[in-house]
Amino acid sequence: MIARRFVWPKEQIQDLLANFVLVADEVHRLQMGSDAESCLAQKIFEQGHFGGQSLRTATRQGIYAATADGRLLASVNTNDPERMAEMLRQALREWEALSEEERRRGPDVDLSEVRRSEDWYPEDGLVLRTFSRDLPRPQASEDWRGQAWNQDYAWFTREEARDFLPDGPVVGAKGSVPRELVERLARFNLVDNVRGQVPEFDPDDLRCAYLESEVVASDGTSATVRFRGQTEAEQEGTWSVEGFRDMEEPNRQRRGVRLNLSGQGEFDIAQGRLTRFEILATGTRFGASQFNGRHDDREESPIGFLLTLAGNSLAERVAPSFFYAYGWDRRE
Amino acid sequence: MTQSPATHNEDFNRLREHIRPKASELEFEGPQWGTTFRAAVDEAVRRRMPILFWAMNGHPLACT
Repeated sequence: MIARRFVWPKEQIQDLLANFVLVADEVHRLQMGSDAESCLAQKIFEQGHFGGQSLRTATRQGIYAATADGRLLASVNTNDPERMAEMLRQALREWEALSEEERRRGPDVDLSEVRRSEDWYPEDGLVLRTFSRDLPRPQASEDWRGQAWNQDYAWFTREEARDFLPDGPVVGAKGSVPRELVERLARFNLVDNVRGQVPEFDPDDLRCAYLESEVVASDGTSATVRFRGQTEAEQEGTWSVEGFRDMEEPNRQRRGVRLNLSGQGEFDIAQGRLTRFEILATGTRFGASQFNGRHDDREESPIGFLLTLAGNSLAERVAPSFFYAYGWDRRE
Repeated sequence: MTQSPATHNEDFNRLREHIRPKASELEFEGPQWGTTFRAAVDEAVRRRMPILFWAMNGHPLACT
């Protein structure tokens, strides 16, 4: 998360990046998987800075420069722009030292059969980009945590997207977004991920999850829909809250999020698509999970989320973090 | 007490702008990252270029 702010925007880094095919990807699946893509990634990881480590804490996070056939050129795990720049220069020196034939080599595994969550991107559906951030409060952290924010995505099929509009889009028409769709947001997106990853809520953790819609304007081709709702989720159990430090000594914990939702959308009636969508979810969160950086901030405090339409850039086609729980990839 | 529409809109806009990342906070998206390692390998073969692979727990361009 820190690299987002302190490494990539630096000018000396940006110039060096032009020499590479750039990719950002989630490491856990690639580190643990057995498909061809994971095997090739593991070949690179094991030559890198964390190669060979087998502890439970042994993530392979970092920045790797490599050839297409999996030869490591250089790697580092740092938030220091100078160290990053040096790694990139080292990688380019290694690349220049390769023969033409070595640079041309492709992987010795077939990647064409690999299936990924991104293959289920709902081209004609609804893709939301969701942002989270702490709301102002006294004694906010003065370090990076005080400025922390995070993001994720939520996917809905074309049919599901239509369910955000009340039946009969005339002014005054009211409806309720199906519980299943509100649950998707409440369990996977309206979670305290401001400072880092957090597990999803289970269905049983939801004490409240509804979103009501009302058409407030319509000209026959488009309808303006107002949304109001609430979600409340709370989980109790035994888990660690300080990353790897207390992972062998987990304690009883509670965590939760309580939110009021409000916003508006513009619905193209003929196309059956939302063309504008903004919902604010504001309220409070409490508790901590293993990796969300709240171990010393477990008291109830204000939090906010913005749910808006994702754009069309490649970066905005990344699959939702909890896509595996959607069940889409298990449908016929 | 119910808020007037104007007050509600002001609050909505203020909170929205507080939560939405500033342009400076989204600069990391500028370098045109690909989003799957699979596609990057194909592109590296095609363009005969090295890969720079940013690997994080949680997708670096989403929730990490």
